[in-house]
Amino acid sequence: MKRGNPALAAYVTLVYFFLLGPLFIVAAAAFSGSNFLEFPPSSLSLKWFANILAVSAFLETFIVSLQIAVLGTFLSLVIGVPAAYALSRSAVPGRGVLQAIFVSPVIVPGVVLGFSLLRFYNVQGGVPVFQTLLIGHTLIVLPYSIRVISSSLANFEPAIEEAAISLGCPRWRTFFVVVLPNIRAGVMAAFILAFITSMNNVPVSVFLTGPGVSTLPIQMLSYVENFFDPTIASLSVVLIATTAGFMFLIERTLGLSYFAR
Amino acid sequence: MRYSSVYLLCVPALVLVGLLLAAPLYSTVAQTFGGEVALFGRYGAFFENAFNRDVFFRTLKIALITTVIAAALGYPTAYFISQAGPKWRSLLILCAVLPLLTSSVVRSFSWIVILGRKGSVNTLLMKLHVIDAPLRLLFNEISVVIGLTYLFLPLMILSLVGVMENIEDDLMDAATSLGAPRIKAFFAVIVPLSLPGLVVGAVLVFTGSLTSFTTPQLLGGDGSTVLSTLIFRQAMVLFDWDGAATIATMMVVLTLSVITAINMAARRLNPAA
Amino acid sequence: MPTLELRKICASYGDNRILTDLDLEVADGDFVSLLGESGCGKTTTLRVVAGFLRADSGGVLLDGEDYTRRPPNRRGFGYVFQSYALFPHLNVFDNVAFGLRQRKVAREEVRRRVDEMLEVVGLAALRDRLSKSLSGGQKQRVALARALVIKPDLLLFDEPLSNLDAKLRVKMRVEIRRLQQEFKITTLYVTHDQEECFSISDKVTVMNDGVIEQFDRPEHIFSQPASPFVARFVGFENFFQLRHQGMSDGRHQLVAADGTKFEAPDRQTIPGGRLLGAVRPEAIALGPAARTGQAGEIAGSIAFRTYLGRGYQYIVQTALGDLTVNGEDQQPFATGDTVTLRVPPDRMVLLGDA
Repeated sequence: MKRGNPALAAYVTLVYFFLLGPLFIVAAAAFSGSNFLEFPPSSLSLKWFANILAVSAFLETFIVSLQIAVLGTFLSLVIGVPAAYALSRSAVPGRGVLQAIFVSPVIVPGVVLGFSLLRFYNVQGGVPVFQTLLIGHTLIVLPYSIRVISSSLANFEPAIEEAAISLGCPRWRTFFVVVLPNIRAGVMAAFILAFITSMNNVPVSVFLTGPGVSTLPIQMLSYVENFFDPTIASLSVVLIATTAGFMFLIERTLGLSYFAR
Repeated sequence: MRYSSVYLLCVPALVLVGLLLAAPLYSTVAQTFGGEVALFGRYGAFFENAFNRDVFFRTLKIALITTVIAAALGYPTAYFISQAGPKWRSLLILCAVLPLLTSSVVRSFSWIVILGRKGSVNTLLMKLHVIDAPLRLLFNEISVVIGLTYLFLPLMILSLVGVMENIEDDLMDAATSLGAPRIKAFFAVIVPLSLPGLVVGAVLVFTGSLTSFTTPQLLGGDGSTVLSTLIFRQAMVLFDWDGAATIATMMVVLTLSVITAINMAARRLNPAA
Repeated sequence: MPTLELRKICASYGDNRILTDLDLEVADGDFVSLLGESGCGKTTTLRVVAGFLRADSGGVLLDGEDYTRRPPNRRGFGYVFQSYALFPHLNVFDNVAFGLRQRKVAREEVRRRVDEMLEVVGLAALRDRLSKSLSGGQKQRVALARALVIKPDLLLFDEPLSNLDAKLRVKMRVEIRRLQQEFKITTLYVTHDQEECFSISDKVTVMNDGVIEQFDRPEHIFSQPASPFVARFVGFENFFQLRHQGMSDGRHQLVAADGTKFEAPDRQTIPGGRLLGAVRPEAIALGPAARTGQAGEIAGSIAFRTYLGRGYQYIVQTALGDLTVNGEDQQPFATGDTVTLRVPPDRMVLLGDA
């Protein structure tokens, strides 16, 4: 602080208590030996961590979530990167409109998207649940992929590409040998951000569950609604730790300022 | 790059958004106008029902309160972060991002742990003999607002930090050298210049709260149904597709009009933006 | 009009000590520049004067009154920023009016004084434009008007012209000087540009590493640098280690390590310790090899030649090391030519060698 204001500092401390406190409390409750959620825990135990594995639905839905997240993120990048690149390197007519279209899925409320996909593809079109889920998740992560890739491309000087082209490298190859290696960190960040977004999604997925197909967050949701034991707290600890690990990865590759845009 | 190749590279994304997204959305909207009902008849029917009306206005009220609280908590915090040294700044941003990247189920669930019958708050109050029996703190509008504020505060903070970081330090110095005390300089310089960040943050928090599903589902009770939980019930419990489509259409229209309205208001307030 | 006094100022950023025991006095109505390379502490000094940075110790006095702990908003100094720091959300008029409104000046008077000031800087036509739509030179004028309109006791400039192109820089510095003299405001001006600094200032402070190396009139700094640092800074490129051998013919008699003799005018006092003679490249006369045995003669051969437009610059290999010499002849020497250099007695400046 250039000029410390104690009242402001105190206020901010309280805000951070609010931001981080609940996560700590969940973590503490996860180690409780009691059959009920309580904080502070009256006894300590790891049994609720063991219970995560005992409930087979958690593992099953985790695998579905993982498949959907990896496939959806991959698709969004394969589709999003060319579009982001094309729009960042040329001022075609309708550029603004195209950009707006590509980020528009983020504006559509998740429940509306989930409901509409269920109705249109699954119920009316006969598309299996898994594929419908994949369409939905590819759609919701596309804006993240495009946005991160675009800002990464904006920081990469076009003159470097022109240098490659002037040296005889065709444009398409320039993209692979010059542009892509230099925006690697951005692609990585886009992947992680899109992956986490997909893994955490509830409102779209909640409409798209079927026999044998459900995602981890939906499974957690229904578990919380039916059981009051600390299993979900333990699972939360695992997820928070994984997220923190991912964040560490991003911080190392790009710095977290990527999120402040 | 030739224009034709630019458009070509955009085709896959256009197909994804333009067809795979637009078609189901169009179909949903179209359904609310189909059948043997008068134009907008389904919307009329929706609002004739007192329960639906309550849900509609409760959703708006909760979103509005959440946005105001998030702004009140987030604005000073963001200013503090933007003024902090680089080390503190990245640590504080990190701590704001961590909850943001955590599953909304986990984050809403944490408030069950805190506000539940055997939760932290009740335990503490009982120990202090303030109360004899646990209070019912969950499953009402207040718990939903708390949960949503918790969910979306990081977005408010990050939107504001992004803008405040780009306000030149020299501007505050210029204002003070011209005679403004720091607090006055803050209101004359930082506040108007950070308005775009506040607008972005408010749009994100408001539309997020308006459409959030997990938090009202977990922290709200029967008396605090909102549009997103209502649509879920219509579609998945009552299988009332017309009703669900009607609510879905309203949510889209509501979201778009909120975004447009806030942006227009902001433009009027700040010609420099 | 007041006198500014800095007494034993020490200042630091974090753990980084920037200024050590800095003393400076700026007389009433004077235009004083702080000149030095980046990191020398000139901007830090300015920020201490403005009150943006609190000195660790030492005092800032204006007309004998202690300003050290006075907050910047109550100092009443005009500050012109390197980045201009115009308020992007306000138009030209409101930018200039900002300081007057802080002083609760009546509406009508604000309008009158701001319009008057915009007239003075030639911006009356742009009064309703947003500041971000202005060109660099226009922004500079707004910044100037904004600082001047509050009738500051002291005007502070932080590299105000460094973001402008060369032509505009010259124009604006004349403008700044004109306004300063018109309003008779005591001014402290930070720059790293020598020419700008010498052309505009009554007095110049050359700073190096948080310390003032020399505080003098521009002409003196240019012709009589007080230290090797200042000499290098103002364009002396040739330095000789010398020993003093007494006076003769009213001149200092000096000898270099290899026995070459030099003379220097006696108006200079001889600093104690080791002695350094400094000569500018254009002060040395260059001719074909021919020894006359006079003082100041050095034999050498041309090692390298570059064309400067007005003449040539040579790197000449000599027993005293490589010397840089400017020749105005249109008939240049070629690389490898043997030559004789002559250092005129009155062009040699004697310095203490730190």
